[in-house]
Amino acid sequence: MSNTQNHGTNADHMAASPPLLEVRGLSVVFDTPEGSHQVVDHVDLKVSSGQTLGLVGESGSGKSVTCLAMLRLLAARGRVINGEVLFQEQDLLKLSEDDMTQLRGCKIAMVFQDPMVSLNPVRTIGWQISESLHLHQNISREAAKRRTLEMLDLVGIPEPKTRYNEYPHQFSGGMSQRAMIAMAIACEPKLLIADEPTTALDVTIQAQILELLSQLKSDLDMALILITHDLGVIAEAADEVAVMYAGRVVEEAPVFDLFDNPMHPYTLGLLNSLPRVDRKVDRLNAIEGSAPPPHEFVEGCRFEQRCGHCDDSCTGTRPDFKNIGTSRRVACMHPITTS
Amino acid sequence: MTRYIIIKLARSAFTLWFVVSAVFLVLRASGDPLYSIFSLGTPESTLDIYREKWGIDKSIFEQYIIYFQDIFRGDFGTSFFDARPAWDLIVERLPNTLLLGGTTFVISVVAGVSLGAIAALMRGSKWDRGIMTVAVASFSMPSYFLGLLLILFFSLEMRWLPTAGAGTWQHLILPATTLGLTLSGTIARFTRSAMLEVLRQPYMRTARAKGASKWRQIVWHALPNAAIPTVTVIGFQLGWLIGGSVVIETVFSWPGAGRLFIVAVGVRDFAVVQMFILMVASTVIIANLLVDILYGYLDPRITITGIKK
Ligand SMILES: Nc1ncnc2c1ncn2[C@@H]1O[C@H](COP(=O)(O)OP(=O)(O)OP(=O)(O)O)[C@@H](O)[C@H]1O
Ligand SMILES: [Mg+2]
Repeated sequence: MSNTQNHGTNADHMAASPPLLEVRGLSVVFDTPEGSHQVVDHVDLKVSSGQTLGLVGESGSGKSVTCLAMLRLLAARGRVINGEVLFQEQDLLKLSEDDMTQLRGCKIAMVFQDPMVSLNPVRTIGWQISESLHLHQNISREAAKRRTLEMLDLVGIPEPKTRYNEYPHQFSGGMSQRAMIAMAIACEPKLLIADEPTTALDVTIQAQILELLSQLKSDLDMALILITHDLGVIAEAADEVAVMYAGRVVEEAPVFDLFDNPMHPYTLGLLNSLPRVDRKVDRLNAIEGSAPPPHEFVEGCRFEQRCGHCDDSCTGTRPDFKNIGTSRRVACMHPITTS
Repeated sequence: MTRYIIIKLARSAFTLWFVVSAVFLVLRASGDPLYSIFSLGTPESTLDIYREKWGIDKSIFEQYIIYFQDIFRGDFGTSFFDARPAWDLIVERLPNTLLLGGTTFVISVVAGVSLGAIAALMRGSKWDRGIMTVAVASFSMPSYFLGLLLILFFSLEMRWLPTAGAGTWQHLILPATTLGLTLSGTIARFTRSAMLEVLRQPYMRTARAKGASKWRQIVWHALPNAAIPTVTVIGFQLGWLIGGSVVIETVFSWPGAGRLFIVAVGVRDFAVVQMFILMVASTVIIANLLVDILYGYLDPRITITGIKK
């Protein structure tokens, strides 16, 4: 773990000032031809400036949809049916579309999951990055170009001058990912949402990108939401962690506490499936079965079928969050306690 | 690059040669033109004089050689009918043809692309349904039939517009509308689907996420991508437009090259038919070359050789 030095100050920090972003009870429904499914169910999240919130969960647990809903970037068939997204104490869901447009890319930026298709194929990389600058800053063409070259250099793209005039298809996955990051941080946002910024990258590049993100976070005093299904990445880069399962947040804790003492059986399962150097395992202890698809979501605990700790109380009613100390909480009828 | 151009030109030359030769043979195989030019009962001896004069007494092979020698000398033959060079006959009607075709083409492209884009952007709305209903209807109706309907209503019934001829802008309206409706309908349908495809691409979400306005998203991010398949379709439509205008010029008695061609086919006026076909084929080939070039220019993923970089 490289940046765990500020764990001790988390609680103080959060108590002192309201978080930069606070999501309360966010619920999202998708209207599909097969029916309406609530894929995000009363999600609460918080992140403060200079902090990284790691959002983990299996594929389909609703990580991307939660973040897209926060920025109001859901596809047409998706709609928020409930909740608040307080950014600098202002509910983004109530802003006018014009105000939202002003804010996107300026104060909140997002790096998308699939960089290769998230860049416009007919525009040069330089054009796409400097567009962000032109949209939010009153900046001359030369200045924007200079700044773009700086950004390309900053995210570790070699030969920025040549790369500036190239098109996305001339970029590898890792390079596209960096270009996306450059585009997102060009206007020095207060909050950066990075959706799986390191998936499909090889380990060295992955480490470089994480290093870059945490560097930027401290340089710009930025808040970072890091979406991943890789607990290794979380251990590496997050301060706080929220674990999502089947559209709900099931556990929230400072990273150290989470790894040290997972309280939700699902979190424990995730941790057990992680290869560890300090423990000899013959095979990965993956959780049996798979997460339910949205049309099989129940009101009660959604992990019940795969859980070794459940009983009758888990069926039927939604497990409420229990606060454990000041900094963590868990939504489980029978949280694991090690004492 | 040079190699590519050479291949392209060679292929074009071959296509031209093939089309011209096919027309040459089919014309001569379809009967003796003398019988459609002279009235029945004209003595064979008289006809023979003309056969010799026009060079169609020689063997087909000889005629073929002479025909090509003449083309390279810039001589496209003489009309049996008018006794004037086929070149002059066609060229003097070109302005009319270009006026009708050009007007139609420009208006159709502008209208088709914008209506298609509007339909895509307002997908599912009554605008979308309205535009697409008209587009599909005009597309599935033969243009001569549509032309007759328009004549019936606007000329014969309402007496607003002339049925035939040329000269004033009023004369242009009906034939241009007839041709243009079908063309813009086709272009609108393709633009709409290209646009819908582009709008659901992840990079459009990126554009929204960086704070681009709605207008900017469409003009700077969506349209340049949707233009790529649309340009191809528009290029193909040019061939259709030429064929369509031959029909429409006849329906509306528009004094253009297309109508001249129809008449010439009827009387087997060899030189005029051959010259017209040669010109149409050249136009289509040039249009395709232009589309190729434009395509490489619009899509950075395609090099001029058509191979992905
Ligand atoms: N446009 C859409 N239409 C319908 N359903 C959708 C749409 N986008 C997402 N969903 C559904 O929402 C649920 C959550 O998807 P989401 O993309 O948020 O998962 P995720 O946690 O980001 O997974 P991954 O790790 O694979 O990215 C999934 O069940 C998915 O099928
Ligand atoms: Mg995702």
